[in-house]
Amino acid sequence: MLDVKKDFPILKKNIVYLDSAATSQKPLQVINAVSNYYRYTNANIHRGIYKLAQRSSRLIDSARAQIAKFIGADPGEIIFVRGTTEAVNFIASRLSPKIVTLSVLEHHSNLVPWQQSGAILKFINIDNQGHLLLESLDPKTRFITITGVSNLLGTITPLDKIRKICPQAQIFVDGAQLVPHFPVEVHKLGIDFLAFSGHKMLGPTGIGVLYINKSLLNQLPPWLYGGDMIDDVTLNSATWADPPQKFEAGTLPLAEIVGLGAAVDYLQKIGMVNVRRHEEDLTNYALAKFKKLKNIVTLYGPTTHRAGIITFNVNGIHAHDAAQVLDEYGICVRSGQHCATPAITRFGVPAMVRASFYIYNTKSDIDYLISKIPEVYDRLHRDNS
Amino acid sequence: MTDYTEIILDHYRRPRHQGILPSPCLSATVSNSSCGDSLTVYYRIKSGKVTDFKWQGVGCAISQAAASIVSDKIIGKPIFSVRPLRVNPARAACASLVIKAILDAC
Repeated sequence: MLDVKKDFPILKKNIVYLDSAATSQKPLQVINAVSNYYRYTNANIHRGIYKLAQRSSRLIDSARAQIAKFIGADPGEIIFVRGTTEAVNFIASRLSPKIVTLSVLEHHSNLVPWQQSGAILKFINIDNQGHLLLESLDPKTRFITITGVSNLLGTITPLDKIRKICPQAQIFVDGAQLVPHFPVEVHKLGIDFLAFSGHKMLGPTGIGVLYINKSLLNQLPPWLYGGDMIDDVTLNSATWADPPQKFEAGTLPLAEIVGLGAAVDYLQKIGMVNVRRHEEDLTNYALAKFKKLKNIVTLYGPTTHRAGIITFNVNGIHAHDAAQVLDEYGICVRSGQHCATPAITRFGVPAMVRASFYIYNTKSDIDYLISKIPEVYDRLHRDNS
Repeated sequence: MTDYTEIILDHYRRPRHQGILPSPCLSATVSNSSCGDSLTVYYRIKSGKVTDFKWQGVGCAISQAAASIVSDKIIGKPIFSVRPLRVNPARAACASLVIKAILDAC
């Protein structure tokens, strides 16, 4: 098991943080990278002749190279965006495929932008445990957008199988819950787009990445217009810079990019295989412990082979009540519909509690959660429920 | 500070005035989409005062207890006399669901 809690100042407080699927905590290495950027390097990039601006530019370029390498992409194939949501909106509004295939597990951010694009939507269904039913997937499918990992149930999407079933399809992967937790190689996976958010992988908020396969970079029109994305401008017309600058109008969130670079560096030093192994151990440990509570707890999602996300309800008790009582014991879990209303309604409950793990969580965090669930039940259950 | 005080837990476990009021003067159903809660209120009014009140719904302990507490207080009083229960800000929407229903019905 990893032992990195000491790197995360916020976790020195008396909390057990189990909401990393919403946002991760930040190690000192990332906090210092952001703070040092403002202290020692802050200057706008790509324009300044002076040395400070050149240093800032180099820092951003090297962060881009490092982040690209992290997902097995070329530096020119990644575009900095605010987060996964912005990336989906960009592609849904600019690529506008006529028919889009999605799963019923999509987070609202990988559903609503496609609804708004005017495309015809087709859905891949799930079974009772939340596994995708890929038998229904048409091999002639042209465009698929799918979550890499369900933020609701922890279902891991078999992207390699989807690629095999649909060799012609363009595939967009919502990687918000995938990239922070699993080794990802975009070229090996054969996917065309991948979006992810920095704040869910130890980095700052307000910075995310959109990978676009280089074969598609030139086909896409710009999204936002303005400074930095142009080649030449007259009073009545403009031409575009080469990608990725073509898609990065305005001043980028520089400190956040540096912070994300530091987060990627931190994760690479641990190794994504080890990150996954740590979370897999925790998840299996938690699933086994939860089974012992089966008289008072209902578990949702796959019973094996899932991401570090455990979704449950304490029987007869609303998820918000369970989460609030757990908070009284210093446990941070999420409750509600997890921005996946169409998926949650399939389980016939109004809300679920979600505990999600990351590298800094330990088996004792899980033991503590498990020890408090009977207390939640004792305090809030009603005889008639 | 817990929101799950004795009063809240008592109303949650033994809800008052829960059910359907046949032929009410006013009724409304409201929901809280982030929680999946829904609540229907029914009431009769005479000379500006509530003469009978019932509520029915599904939801968390806070929203259910708030409805029960309000139902205890509102009968015999003017409709606008009710105030939302004071709770942790994260749960304010739960506590005020019943107030929203009452106002929607007006």
